[in-house]
Amino acid sequence: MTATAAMVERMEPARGSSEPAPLLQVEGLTKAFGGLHAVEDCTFEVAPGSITSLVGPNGAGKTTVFNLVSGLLAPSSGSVRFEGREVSGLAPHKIVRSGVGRTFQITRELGELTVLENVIVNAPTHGLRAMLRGSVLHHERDRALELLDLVGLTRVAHDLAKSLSYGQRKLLELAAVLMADPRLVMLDEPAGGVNPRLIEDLMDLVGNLNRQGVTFLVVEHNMDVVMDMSDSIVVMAHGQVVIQGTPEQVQTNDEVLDAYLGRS
Amino acid sequence: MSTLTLDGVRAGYGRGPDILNGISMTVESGTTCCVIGPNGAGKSTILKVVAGLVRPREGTITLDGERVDGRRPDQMIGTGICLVPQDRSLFPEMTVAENLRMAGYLITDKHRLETRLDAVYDRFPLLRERAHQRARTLSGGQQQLVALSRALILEPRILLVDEPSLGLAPLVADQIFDTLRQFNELGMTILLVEQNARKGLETADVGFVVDLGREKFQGPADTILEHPEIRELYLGRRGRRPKQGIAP
Repeated sequence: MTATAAMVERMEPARGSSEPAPLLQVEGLTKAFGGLHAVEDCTFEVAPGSITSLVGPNGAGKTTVFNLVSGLLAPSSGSVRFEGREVSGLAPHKIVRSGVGRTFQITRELGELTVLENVIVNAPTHGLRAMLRGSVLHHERDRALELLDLVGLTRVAHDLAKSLSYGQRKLLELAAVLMADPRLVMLDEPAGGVNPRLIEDLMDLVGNLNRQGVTFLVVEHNMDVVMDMSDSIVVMAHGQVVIQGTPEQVQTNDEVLDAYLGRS
Repeated sequence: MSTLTLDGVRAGYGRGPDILNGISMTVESGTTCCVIGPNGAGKSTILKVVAGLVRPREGTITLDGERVDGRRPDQMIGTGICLVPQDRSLFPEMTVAENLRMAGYLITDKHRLETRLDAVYDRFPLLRERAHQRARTLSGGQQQLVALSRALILEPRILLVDEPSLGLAPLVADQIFDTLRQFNELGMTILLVEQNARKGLETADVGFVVDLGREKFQGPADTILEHPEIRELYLGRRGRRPKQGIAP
């Protein structure tokens, strides 16, 4: 069974019910840095099987929300539930193990390792330890190769990660995240700094993975991309959620336009 | 007072793609022009190319008819083009007075520098009070005031200001925009980039809208946000590929 087929199988039960419980549920999430509330009383949901986008003007608090959900920051108050389980306050690696993967705005590959090794280190069980011992499991290596094939990096699998172009690094990061078998993938500005053709490729890839059952939460500034791919959009401004709705609802909402144009 | 003109300017960073794809614009003498547009449109790059921090790959930049493109940033300052960057770029461990003096390093006549410093202190008494305080200990609004005052010391012909309200509380941002209005009344031509389009345009005479490194349209600052394309520009195109998804 392929990796992605495994994901589909896992997703089936949720897809069957009429009103699936949210995969990710963020409630009253608040993060204060001193007197500054970077995120204040944020509440939104990510439905299983959806592509949900998190948008808003610069400084709205989107990346802080990502850091709170992925455990890089601890919230001042509020809760983050994944598959019904409270995960806020857990260490980042525990959140990854619970099934949440994320990418970064600026990619964070290990430059001196090969592309393939970069993917293998993210294997859920042995990964890095096995690699250091020189005893990577066959199925993990196969899986990593399969994921590199999926993102179109087979040709450079044995090159050092530092030799990749910026766009290729984005693809590598996605493959590495998928290696940990996440049910929710969080992408931080996948289209940022990437040429238009690769944006199309990346979005096709996200669309395909999504159809195979992977849920996405995406921070993205390219609004054409956001409107094109999202089932649901959460708009943030000044650390707060303005609205969560469909692309149509968001595009016609005057408060959203105000958030982007600023207040006089 | 001076007029700034960009004609067909193409520019980008390193070997990367063009960020500006043939920008042409004129900032008329004594006016304030506010550049607005979505993230990544190339707004800040317009300022950097005028300040000489990024060299145009093509096209020309003229100040009162004189070609200035290709000059180094310090030569641009000598020409009378002064940039107040987004990060304010103060010397954090230096005092307010030292920061202001550093700005005047091109002014060789000591007496003239002192006169200008006094004029800045008279205009902003707060800076006189804080003259011996280290810049890093100032609030964000005060730091922005020092950054703008450094520009004032140089009495530039063109003032370029990148996102002056960034990270400031609304009331503090208002004070900064008031300061820009004062500068304009002194006769400075101002090219402003501002994420808060409404506030930036309130300070400006002309609004210039960019997207993907190109001019989208321009017009009077007080009516440009009524343009029918503004919504789509900020919130994306509508009615493209309909997606069958599971919306919550």
